[in-house]
Amino acid sequence: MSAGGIGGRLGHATGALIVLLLGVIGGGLIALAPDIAVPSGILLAPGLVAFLFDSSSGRAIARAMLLFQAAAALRPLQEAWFRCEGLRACMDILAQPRQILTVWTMAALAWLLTQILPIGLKLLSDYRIRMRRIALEARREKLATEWGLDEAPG
Amino acid sequence: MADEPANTLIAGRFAVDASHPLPEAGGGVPAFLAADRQSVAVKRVALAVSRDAPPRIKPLLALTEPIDNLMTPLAHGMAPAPGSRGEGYYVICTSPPGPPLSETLTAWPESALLDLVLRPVARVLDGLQRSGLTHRAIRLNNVFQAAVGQPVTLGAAWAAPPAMHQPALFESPYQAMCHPTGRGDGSIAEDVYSLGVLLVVLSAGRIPLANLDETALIRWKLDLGSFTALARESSMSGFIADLARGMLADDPEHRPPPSLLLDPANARARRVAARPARRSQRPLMLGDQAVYDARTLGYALLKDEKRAVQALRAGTVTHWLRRGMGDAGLAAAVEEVVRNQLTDPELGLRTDAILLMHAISTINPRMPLCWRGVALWPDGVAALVAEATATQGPLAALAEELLVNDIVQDWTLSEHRASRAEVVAMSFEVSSALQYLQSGGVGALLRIFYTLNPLLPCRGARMATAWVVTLTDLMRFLEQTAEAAPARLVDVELSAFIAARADRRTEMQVNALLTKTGSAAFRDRELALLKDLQGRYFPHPMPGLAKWAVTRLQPAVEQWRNRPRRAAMMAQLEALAREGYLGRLLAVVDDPAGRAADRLGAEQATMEHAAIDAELAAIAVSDTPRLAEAEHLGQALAGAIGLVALIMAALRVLMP
Repeated sequence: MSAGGIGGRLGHATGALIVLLLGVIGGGLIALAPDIAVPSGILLAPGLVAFLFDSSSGRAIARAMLLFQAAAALRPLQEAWFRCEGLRACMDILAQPRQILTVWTMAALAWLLTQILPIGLKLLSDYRIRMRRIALEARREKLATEWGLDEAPG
Repeated sequence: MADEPANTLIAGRFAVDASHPLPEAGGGVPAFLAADRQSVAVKRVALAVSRDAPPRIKPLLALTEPIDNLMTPLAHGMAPAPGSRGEGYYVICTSPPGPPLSETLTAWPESALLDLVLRPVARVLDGLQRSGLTHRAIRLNNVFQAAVGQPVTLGAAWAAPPAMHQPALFESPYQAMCHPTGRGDGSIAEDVYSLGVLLVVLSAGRIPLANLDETALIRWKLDLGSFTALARESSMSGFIADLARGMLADDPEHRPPPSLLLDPANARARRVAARPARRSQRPLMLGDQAVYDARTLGYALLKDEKRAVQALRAGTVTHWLRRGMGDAGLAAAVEEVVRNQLTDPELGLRTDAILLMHAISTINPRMPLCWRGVALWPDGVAALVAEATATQGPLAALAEELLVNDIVQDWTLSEHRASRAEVVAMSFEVSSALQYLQSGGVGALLRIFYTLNPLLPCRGARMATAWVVTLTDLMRFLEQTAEAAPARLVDVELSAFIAARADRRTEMQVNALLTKTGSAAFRDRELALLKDLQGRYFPHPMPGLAKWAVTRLQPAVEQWRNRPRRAAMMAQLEALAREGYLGRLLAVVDDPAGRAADRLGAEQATMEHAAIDAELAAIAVSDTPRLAEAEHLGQALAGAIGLVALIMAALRVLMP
């Protein structure tokens, strides 16, 4: 079984687990604190939308966006948890444009990273392979010259 | 001539002046003036040895000091040939005192014949006989006299095979009928015969029977007896006639020995009664030849082989012997010979020749060995083989047949002859060469030729002007001509020469070389042979030959797979070639451990090469998988960064 196959399955399993966790957390939050849940949904909206449409293995792009957004939204949520009472008050604290922009920017940053990092890694791999090919060709040439391996047999 | 370099001197003292021929000094053999460095005032004669006719080794080795009234050999060796055409071989002799007797042939008085011819020559012959030698060249143009009243001097007889240049007149019929190179050393009685003829000729002052050709002269001598045949046309005193009668006796044992001739009166008194030969009143016709007795019958059988065999098989000969000659015993003996040969199935194509050989010997036991129309004495085989090698053709086939089938042995044993056949000196080398010939080896006759004629030069293709006698000469020659040497140096001629002139070990090496057909195996053996020859016969630097050997070794070097090693080896070989020792060159190439390492290295290199090819092929098609992998890894990395950021944020929230 190939490493790609194992990674793919693991990605799918992780994605499913995250969906499950998000569902549980979302459901629990709506049930226990609907005043926090609505503004949180607004903050995490790009990641959640990406989660629905992401076709990459293990929904890696959406996962990265959500993790970045979660990291950015954690402190506002913690403040809102202790300071606001009721949906309006929580909306006033959490759904401020500046706050939303910050969290959504993090989502964009995550998306950007998922696009740039593969390209960088590919370039790095190309460079490494080119170096290897040059080394191999030099060695091949040396062997052929030294032992006459390019001579016609006989 | 005074500036002659030392290496062109014979025996370190004789310088041959090839530009100064002495046409009359050699008695038919080319002769040149020679200077003696130890006695500048004394002139010597250098007799040129033909490449195809061997000089007489036994006298050359035995005679070293000048003998009165004889052109004695003093030395022999190589010197520049006439016209600067390479090298020649010369026998240096004391010079003749004057012109040959053939120059001014007059009738000599009896006293002069006895005092100036018979006694001095008999003394010389007596000396030769004591040394076990013969002269075999007493003839008019080879006997010299300084001036009237001076004793004659016998010319040289050393630079050509015995009696080779003798006219039939001066030889007994049994010698004269032989091939000129097949007369052999013979016995001193043959010299006594020639001296007898000389006395008859000088006594008469003219050459008797000069109008007869050789065959007629021999037949005449056989028919009448030598003395009668010659005396019929010569006038001589009774004393000389009595002497000559004894000296020209047909049976060599009836001739007086030289010691007896020193006292002519005694020699004259010696009479050996010979039984007169039976003669038939009715001739036996063999073709157009009428035969009246057994002696002429033997000669007639020799001269016409086809008719002779027919007559023997048809019984004509035995019938005539019985009825015509009245010799029933001889007829029965010939019948037995014919019957024995006809019933021997092993003889094959040789049946007729063997039948004739034995029949002739039976009819006249004094006849030489007669084989397919050629007569020879077995001690002349060496010179005959030399002649056969030079002329090729029928004589070569005849010589080969004689040797392959041991005809000489057969002839000698069957007739219970005295050991004149001992003469084909059956040394170990000759036996070995004969064995090789009988086994059908390549160049076997040449090998016999070289073995039997140790002073004759190698007949290699490039040696027409060189006189290569020993292996040292050969190696020197190869070194001098290495630049123009062919790819294969040791051809059939050269291999025969080396096998004949080298020792047994080298002979076996040559035999092994000749069995190699593959070029690489032949090359290896050839170089090993040359290396051994250099080591054992010419231990001096041979850079020319070594350079040739490097070229020859190139294919062997190219068998090495590692190119830098090859280049290093070639550089090493070229450096060693300048030193000139073949053994060192071969040691470089002959490295089994290095060769095994080279093979192993080549195998490993091949495997590594194949692995690299496979990896490069894999790299060529790896772009898509690597892109997928980079994408996957990049996304995972982004996720990991996000997770780390989340954990950091969580920690800040939980632990402000």
